[in-house]
Amino acid sequence: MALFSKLTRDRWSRFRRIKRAWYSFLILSSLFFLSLFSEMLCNDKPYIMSYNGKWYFPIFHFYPEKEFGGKYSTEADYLTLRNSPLFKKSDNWMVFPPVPHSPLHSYIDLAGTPPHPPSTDHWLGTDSSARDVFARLLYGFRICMLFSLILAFIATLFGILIGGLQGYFGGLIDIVVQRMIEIWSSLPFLYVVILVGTIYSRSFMILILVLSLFQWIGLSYYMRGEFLKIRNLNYVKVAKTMGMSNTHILFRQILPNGLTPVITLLPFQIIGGIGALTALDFLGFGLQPPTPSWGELLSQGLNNLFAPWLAISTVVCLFTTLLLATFIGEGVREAFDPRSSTN
Amino acid sequence: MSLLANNSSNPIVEVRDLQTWFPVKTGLLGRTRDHIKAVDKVSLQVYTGEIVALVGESGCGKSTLGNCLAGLLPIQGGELSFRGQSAIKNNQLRRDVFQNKVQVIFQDPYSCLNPKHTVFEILSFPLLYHKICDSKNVSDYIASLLEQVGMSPEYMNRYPHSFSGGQRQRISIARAIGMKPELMICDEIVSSLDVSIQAQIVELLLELREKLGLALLFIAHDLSLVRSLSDRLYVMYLGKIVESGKTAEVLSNPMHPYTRALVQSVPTLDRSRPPIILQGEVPSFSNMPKGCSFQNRCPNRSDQCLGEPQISQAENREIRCFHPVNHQS
Repeated sequence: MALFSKLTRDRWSRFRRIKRAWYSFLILSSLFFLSLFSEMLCNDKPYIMSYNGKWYFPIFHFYPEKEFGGKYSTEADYLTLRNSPLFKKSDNWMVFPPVPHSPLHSYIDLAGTPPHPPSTDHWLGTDSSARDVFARLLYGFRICMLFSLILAFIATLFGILIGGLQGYFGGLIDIVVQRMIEIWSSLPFLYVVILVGTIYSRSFMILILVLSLFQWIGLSYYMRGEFLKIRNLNYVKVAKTMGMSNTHILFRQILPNGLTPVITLLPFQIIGGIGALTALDFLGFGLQPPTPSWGELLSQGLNNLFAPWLAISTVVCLFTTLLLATFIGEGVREAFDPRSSTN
Repeated sequence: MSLLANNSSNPIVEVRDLQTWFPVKTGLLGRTRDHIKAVDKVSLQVYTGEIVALVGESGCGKSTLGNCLAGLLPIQGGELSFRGQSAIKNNQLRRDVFQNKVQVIFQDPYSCLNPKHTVFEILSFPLLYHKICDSKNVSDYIASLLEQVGMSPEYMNRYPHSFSGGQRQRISIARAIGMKPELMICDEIVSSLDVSIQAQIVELLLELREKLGLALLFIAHDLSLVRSLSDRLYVMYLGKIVESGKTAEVLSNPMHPYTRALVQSVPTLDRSRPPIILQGEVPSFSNMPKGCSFQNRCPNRSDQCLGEPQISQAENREIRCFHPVNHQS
């Protein structure tokens, strides 16, 4: 028994045949997968260290400075510790991740004034607070992708639910809800973000909540049309004459057949999410500093035009991500295109 | 004809003066200007185990009537009863009275089955929902249903796209008989199939009728099919029943001018009976003539036809005409 219908398998193989989209999908998803383990790749704490004959695992466990001969019970600074004479004199050692920088660590003792230009230690330089740009880009990518994925998920749920109810019931419900959507969508969303962000702090969840209040609208139009179309097909009529419940008809009969706009719009929803978060961060209405974010790096780049490594590296990252996502979206749409299914 | 009901038994479904009107809205505020009377004061009865045919040309309202009986459309007026119990409340069909005893099979076998569900799912959803059988026995029950419609139970886990039109129609029939109905409304179920497959499906329906004691309401426009299949016949024209009676009698001796034209339009090899070509156009539902709706095409019309004709009983049959055709042939 096939797990997916023939149509779905056809679409999948058609998507895989579109090389550009397929490779974009592979690259972006593996990048995202890698970024989920950013702490392992890019951290100013070592995986493992040996100190006075004892083993420590600083990435996974908190050790106060006192443990290593410091004065305070705050977390030890391993980069400083590595270079301290106390550490060097005995046969102590530590293994760092490939990029031994945290996105929040300020290298204030570097020579010169921040932002520092790229060097062998800091591949993409540091930002105006002397934090490593590569680390901030990597963690910013993760936050960006997580943010837009969660946002797309919530927006899709809302879009399906509201558009689906409109399309299925039609008539007065449809008209009233449609007018309410029109009023709602004419709210200036930036003001809402600023207001809500001012009243309740600008946290990750609150930003997602506010953005998802607006993001579902586009999808709901498509879902409404899709449900309007499918509810007049015979298998829905049969289910009605058999007295099946509305929930069954909506979610078991219609929804599996109306998912085309959801899937074709999903990559573009994600692009929209990345764009929105970056724009908000750029304007300073996004995530609370010092959260690593691309928008904040961009605005630093604008304020420090003499330090082009800030703007260039961020723009290249943003451009690549959006390009890959757009290629995926294009490929998905092409794979779902009924005209290409005839050959 | 032995199954033909006599007057003493109660009909399964009795429809009296049923009306289905669609509002015609105009203007900015969408005021209802007029109604399209798609089904206008239709009365019909279906008795246990009989096959009743409803014929008429495209757009005469026969499928609308079928949809009303299936509960898909609101009912403006009239009375609909199931086994003597009224089945209409607030213009809606009362499902608690029908209790799935009336099932509908639609014309297009391709869109009747959800492409995302396997045959097993298609058949099991209504059975489990209405608790006709529990999840332990459902697989056996579905296998027996598939065997009854002449399909192998192995097909249970396939998706609809792997079946032909005739097989899909069989699955639709299996889904309907799974609900243990007393009446099946067959809305043009064979008109989109090959002629050879048509015969198979008709054969299957007749067999099921014998075995399960089903009554069938056959909505069709193919008179030759109706002639070989049905016990009684209703002829519909523009939302009204114009003639009804036993199939053999109506078709061999049509009394309403419209029925006569319909019967004689069936192509035959008999050159002595040229087809009657009706003059004029079918009037639009939104612009119906006053009085008899057939008057502008009727060869027998008179001034009397400007009044509304009532149903008259004649020779075991009901006719809605002022000037029934007198037959000598």
